[in-house]
Amino acid sequence: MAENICPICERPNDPSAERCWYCQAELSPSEQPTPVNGTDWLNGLREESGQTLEPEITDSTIENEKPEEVPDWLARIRTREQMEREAQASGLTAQPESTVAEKKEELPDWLKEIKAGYSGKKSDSEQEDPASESVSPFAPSTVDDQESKTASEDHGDDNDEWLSRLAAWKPTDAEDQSINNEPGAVDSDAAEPETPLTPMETAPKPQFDMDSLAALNQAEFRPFEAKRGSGWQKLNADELEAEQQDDSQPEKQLSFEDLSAAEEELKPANFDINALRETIAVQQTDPDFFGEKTPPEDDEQLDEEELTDDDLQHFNFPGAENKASLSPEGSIFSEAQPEPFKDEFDSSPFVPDDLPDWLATARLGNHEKRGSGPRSEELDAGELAEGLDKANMPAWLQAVRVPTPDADGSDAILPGESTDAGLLAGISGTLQTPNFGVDIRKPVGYGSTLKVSERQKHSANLFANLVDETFIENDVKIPKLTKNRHIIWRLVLAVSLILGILLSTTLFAPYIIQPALFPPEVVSAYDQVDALSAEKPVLLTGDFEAAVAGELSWSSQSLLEHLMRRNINLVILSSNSSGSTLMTRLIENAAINVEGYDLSTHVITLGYLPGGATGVQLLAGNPRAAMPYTHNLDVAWNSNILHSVNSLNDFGAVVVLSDKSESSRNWVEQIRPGLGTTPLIFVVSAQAAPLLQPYYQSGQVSGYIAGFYGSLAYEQLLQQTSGSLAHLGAFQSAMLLVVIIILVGGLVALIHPTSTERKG
Amino acid sequence: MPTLSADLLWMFVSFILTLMVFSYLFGDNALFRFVSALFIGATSGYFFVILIFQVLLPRLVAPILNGSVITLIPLILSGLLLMKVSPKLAKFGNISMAYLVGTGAAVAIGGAILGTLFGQIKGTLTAFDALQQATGTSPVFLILEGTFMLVGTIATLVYFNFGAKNTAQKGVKRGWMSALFAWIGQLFIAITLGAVFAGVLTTAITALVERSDFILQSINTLMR
Amino acid sequence: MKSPLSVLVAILSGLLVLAGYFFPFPALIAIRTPMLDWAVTLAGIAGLVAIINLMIGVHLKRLREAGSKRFFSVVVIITFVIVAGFGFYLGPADPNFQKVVTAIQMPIETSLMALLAITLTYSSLKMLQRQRNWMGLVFFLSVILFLVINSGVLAFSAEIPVLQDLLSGFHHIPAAGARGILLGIALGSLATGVRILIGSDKPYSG
Repeated sequence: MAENICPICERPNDPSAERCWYCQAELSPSEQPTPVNGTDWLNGLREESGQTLEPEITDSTIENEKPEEVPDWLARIRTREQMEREAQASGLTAQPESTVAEKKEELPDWLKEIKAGYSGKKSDSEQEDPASESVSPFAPSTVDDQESKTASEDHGDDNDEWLSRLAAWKPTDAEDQSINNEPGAVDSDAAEPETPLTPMETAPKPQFDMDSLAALNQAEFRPFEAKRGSGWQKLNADELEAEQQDDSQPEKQLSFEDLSAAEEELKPANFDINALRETIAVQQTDPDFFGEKTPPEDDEQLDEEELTDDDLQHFNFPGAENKASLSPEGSIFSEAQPEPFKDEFDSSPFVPDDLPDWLATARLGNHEKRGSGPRSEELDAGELAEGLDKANMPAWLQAVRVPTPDADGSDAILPGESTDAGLLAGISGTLQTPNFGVDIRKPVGYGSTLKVSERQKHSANLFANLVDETFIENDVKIPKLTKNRHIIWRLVLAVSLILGILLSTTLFAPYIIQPALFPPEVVSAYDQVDALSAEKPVLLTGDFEAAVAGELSWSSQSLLEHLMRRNINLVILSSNSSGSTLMTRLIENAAINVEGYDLSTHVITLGYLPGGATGVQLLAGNPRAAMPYTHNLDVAWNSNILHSVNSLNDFGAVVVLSDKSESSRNWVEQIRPGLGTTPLIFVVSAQAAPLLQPYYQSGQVSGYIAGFYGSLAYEQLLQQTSGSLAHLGAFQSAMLLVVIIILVGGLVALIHPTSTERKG
Repeated sequence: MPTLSADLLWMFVSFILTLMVFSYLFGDNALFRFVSALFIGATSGYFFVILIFQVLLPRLVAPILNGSVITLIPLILSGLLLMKVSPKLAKFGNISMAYLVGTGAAVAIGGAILGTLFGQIKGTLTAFDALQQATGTSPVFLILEGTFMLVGTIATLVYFNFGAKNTAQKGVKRGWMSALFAWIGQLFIAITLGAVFAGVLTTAITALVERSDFILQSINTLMR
Repeated sequence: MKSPLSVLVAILSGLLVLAGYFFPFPALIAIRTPMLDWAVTLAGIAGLVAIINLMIGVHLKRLREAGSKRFFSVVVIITFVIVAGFGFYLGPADPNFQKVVTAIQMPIETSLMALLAITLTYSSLKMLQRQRNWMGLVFFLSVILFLVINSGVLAFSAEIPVLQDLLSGFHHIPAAGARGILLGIALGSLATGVRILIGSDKPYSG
């Protein structure tokens, strides 16, 4: 079955196919491609460009022949091109040359070469197939710098001209032409010799990568964009000419020395775009394909090289994987064996005849046969390596890059690739830990001793000295003058008070005022005691310190005498450690004034009740459990006094001797709720009286005797003299003296404030 | 008349100690510090003996000797509490302390509620019950007295309540009624604390009078 | 939570004792009385711990340190040993042993209280210098008034009715404030006790 050749890409397709498998162009069933002069369509373009002086009639004839097949835009392009040719052919050849020459300075070499190649092929493509609508920029073209240059000189630098060439392009017979057999040329299929394309038996699998075509339009396709800005459509033949005329800079990356040497010998129309694709595909798989970069000083060349690398990166050539096995340091351009290139496609108008040196001298191997699909062929790495010159990378790049295995899969162990120590010892292909000059060891274990620097020690010693000074001198340093003044004033006061006390019995005796009014709480206490039954013992509890023993001895003596005169048994108990002793002393002193009152039979001392309020609560709940023994460790509740007592209610009264309001409050709170009708009487010092008064007013306390004045009142109620009356003069003298001193001091403070306050 | 030997000796000791304490009037000195140290040692020793004889023996030892098994509980708790002496073993005494604190808190709560709160509120209300007052005082006076007590009590409680509103213009501020009662309460508190201070002074002056009298009597006795 | 057992002991013991205040059931009283007894015993043992700590932890430790205070620690320890030995030998009920209180402790403490009178009087001279405001003046006047009342010079005559009412009134003024203070103290004790019984405060831990 005869193959159906695509008019655009000139590839064989299945006869039954309606569209080309490669470029998706519409196929006519009986359409046979116009044979091209060779596999290189670019060469065809060059041949056509050599016939630029043919009359325009030919173009117009060609256009008229198939008017229905040429789109409007293409017709306009051709018309315009024809007019320009006529204008140029009139003899202004030098101008385009100069114009082109100017532009050649701007464009890179490779682009100039492309332009040159394109201009050479343009005329051929227009003659042979002016009706071709879609052309492939990757179609092979002739790589003939000289011819392309000539062709490019003939054509202007107009974009429309390039487009007109595109429209006029048609495939030529360039399949049998090899572009380059020189060493160093690009060889995409080095393993297979080039064979002429034969009609396909089966539908070929797409080998043309639309993505790569699209990539050409993207920003990465820099060579064209850098110059034109929007892709390959704007490739201008004049610019290509200009590039062609630029000096081809040696590009180490691609071993352009080799390429340039063969450049002149390069035959036209031998550029295989498929090989170019494969080359770029290799670049994709092997980043180091063009590993060697030019030195930084060669900026212009570097730009071109980068551009070219990037240009080729997105070309997805069939069989690109075959290039992965190439040595990273090698370049297919340097070592690839030249083989005859067979390309069935004619030269494309997009690829100029004057290709860049590297591209022009690239050795194109046999591109893959149109078989069942993309073939993955394994290239011979050794063969490739022999033909490729090793690229020289700059030192900075070589130091940074990570050594990778060879492209052919061989684990080429680079020096220092595997570590001899550490977790990854012996494993190849591992990244070496950079040596920072510091040995990585296990963290040092610190001992229990504190490591202190000299500065820290000095600071610690200083701080310790400061603290020691603080502890040594506890007393607040008062200025000596102020301290003496305080001492003098205190002495004066003490002397005055003591003198007043001492002189009260003699000097102030006539001025002593005996109180005529009795406090109601004292009267109530007296009434309660007077109403007590003599059969019930009275619980006498002491909760005071030895400091007020003197005052309480005066305050309680009358009450105790009253109880003794009633012949009431007394049960002594103390919630203070020294209270029982003090209570015993009080009773002994009181008993002296009461005749017939035997303390051994009428008084029992239970001892010390610890626990404060808790002990009082225990006493209130169960006095037998609270005080099981006397202070002599005798069983208390078997005595005559206590045998009938089971609870506090069995007592005739509870008399509490207290010096603080807190202890008084504890007794009231714990005892009163369970005391019933048993009177609760207090004998307190003057400092506890104000906070005991509410309890008396609320009825919780039956009565209380507070301070010296209370005891004096009680004595008067009892109508007997005791120690209180004897000391009344001293007491009143001292009290009034204190009042006078405080009044005078207050008035002085009001009238004459201190110097600090005046300043403030 | 005291016995010559013993009582006179003890009186002399008391006299010397009193004078040594009064030496503080001339400033802090070694005599005063000596007598302070003597006081601490003597008091601690006496307290120690009292505790052994009147707490430990009758409450722990004697019941154990009498066969009381339940006394093992306070015995164990006492042992744990004694570990508080050692800083390392102090944590074992926490249970005993917890027991003490728990019972003490309960006693305080019960006493506060039943002893003070109920009693004092009842007393405040009782002041208005003129019919129960049989002292012959005028009922109007009793009511006035009761009102006075009520206002004073409430005002004192309001003073200790520091609740206030956060106003935008003047910051944190009490309400006007609350501020008025707080001011009245502050007056009552000032008067009460003045009375308390006067009572402390009175007690101290009484002690001074007693000591002065003692010094005089001691001098007279010693001179005899 | 540090030592939940301590918290549990505190709460349980407190709740049982508190319940006895409001529910006088015989069974509850039967449990409550020994519990209170144990608390009283423990309070005495706590006093023992305080004395041992004072003697060993403070004064004996101070003996090892250099300084002038070492002499007074010696005095303390020697006095303690003598008195304790004296007490163990004679017994707490012996009148001679009780002389420790009547002849040593009482004179010293009473003398200190007498010194307090002089010191307080001297400090009262500058009372209005420190509190130059209305409340300070009210306090000052209250002190003066009640000093005079306590001296008994105002109760010179029972025949003047105004005097009796006046004195009675003066007695009622601090009573109102004292009642408020007592109520406040009771409320504070209530709150503190409740906080302990619910475990918010744990003064016994650590």
